[in-house]
Amino acid sequence: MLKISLLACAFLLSGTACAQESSMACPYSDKVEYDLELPVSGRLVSEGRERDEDSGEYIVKREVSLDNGDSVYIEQKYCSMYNLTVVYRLSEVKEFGFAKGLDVIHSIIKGVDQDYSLKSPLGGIVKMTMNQRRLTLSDSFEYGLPLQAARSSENVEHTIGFELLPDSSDFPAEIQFYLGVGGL
Amino acid sequence: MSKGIGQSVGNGGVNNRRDVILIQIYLNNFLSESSSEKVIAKDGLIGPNTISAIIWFQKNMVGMNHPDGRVDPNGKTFRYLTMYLDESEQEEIEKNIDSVGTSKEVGVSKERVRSKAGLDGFQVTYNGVAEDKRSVDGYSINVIKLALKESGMAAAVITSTYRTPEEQAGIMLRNAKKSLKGQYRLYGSAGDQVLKVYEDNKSKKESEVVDLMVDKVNELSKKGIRVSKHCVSPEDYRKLNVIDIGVNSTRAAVKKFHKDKFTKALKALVDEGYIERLIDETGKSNSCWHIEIKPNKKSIPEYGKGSILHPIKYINNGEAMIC
Repeated sequence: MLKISLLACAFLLSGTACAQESSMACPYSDKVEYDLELPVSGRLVSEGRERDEDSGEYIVKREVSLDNGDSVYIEQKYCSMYNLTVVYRLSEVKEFGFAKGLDVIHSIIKGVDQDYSLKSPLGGIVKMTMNQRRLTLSDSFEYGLPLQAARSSENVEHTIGFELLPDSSDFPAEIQFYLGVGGL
Repeated sequence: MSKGIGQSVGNGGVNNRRDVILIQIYLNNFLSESSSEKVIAKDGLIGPNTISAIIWFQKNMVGMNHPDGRVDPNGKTFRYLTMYLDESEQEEIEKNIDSVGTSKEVGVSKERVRSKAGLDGFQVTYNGVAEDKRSVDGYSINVIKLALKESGMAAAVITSTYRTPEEQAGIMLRNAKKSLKGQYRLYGSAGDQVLKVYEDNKSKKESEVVDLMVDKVNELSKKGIRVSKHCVSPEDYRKLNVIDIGVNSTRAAVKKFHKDKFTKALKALVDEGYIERLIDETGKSNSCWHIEIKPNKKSIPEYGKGSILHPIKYINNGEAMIC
């Protein structure tokens, strides 16, 4: 079990930045879970915090290299709404690895402290979406997941993507999960 | 805890009435979303319609190459049928079935019974919604009236229904011109992609930019990704009414305004299955109740359960819609 904790704001940013984040202008900053757990072991490659140039939203990000050869990038962007992006890079394009990657993403989602929970494991929900749309791992795809697959009292946008990467990449493919809570 | 089905349902199955009803209800959740399929009767009787529906589901949702038309307890088909229902939702559905046993009164349970009695005195009107967008189904209007009745308010005002991709793009362009940064903050990934189209092309003629933004909205829509809760096609809108009830417009339309009571009443209707989704945005800048209603999902009988005018339709299987 790998538990990576982003250090307190004081270590990373000035104290005033934290105070600003918690202001009424950024209602979603109060519920950002920095200590997201991964159900697999790995090594922290990088982590950091920054501001998005386009929107001014706060970004918390980190990348972990897993012992099984895969890699996970987690980005939380928040202010007027909450955005979570998880990119799971696969060392091999196989059904088993794909399913394992979705399990890891599901456990990350469970750690997110927002008004959002999936009603079934992400793997099952994605499999049903793939069956419905006749999708396989031989082609890249990106689709919205059904809204009824999640429980939330807020506006939700959630998508799943699978992308075959060029030969020059370190990884042959990646799974992209996006979650947006709140917003328009 | 939900029990699921006790024994197999479908082709060659044991087909206990209660189990069949449960599977018919679960199948209808998917059939109602399909453009090619029709919902089946929730009568507890196994027949060609129910078996065909199971086969359709196994083929198109479970991904079975050789569907057998049968649902086994805790089997793969059952797991897929309940994929979008959490434990409490399954329990609620089972409770409704179990409370009436296997009589013909399917759809009538010991839960609170709503009726259309007395709803005529309540008003649901539109404000700021174009004539051609005033297409909220009569059923949905009655659901809103149920909330009004519960909360002691006389009227509610609908301030938004659906938008075409062109309207959505136009709104986003206007707002982006004022503050692109602000818009990037408020939209999720899909909206950001449309805003990026604006940003990359803003030096072009406005109509061209809108066209490009519309293309992006349509491209995302084909992938099942909505840029906005309201951006749906008229066809989809008929299946799921997306409605904003404005706080300020409603406050102006009534003498007695009970914001919290109305919110509570809408929440109760969500729990009872009349409303699919409620997003309480009364504290946000758009100041509204956002609700999504599937027309005719759950019947609202003409009269209350105790009424001597209790209609035959009411004790039927819940399929017969009175609205």
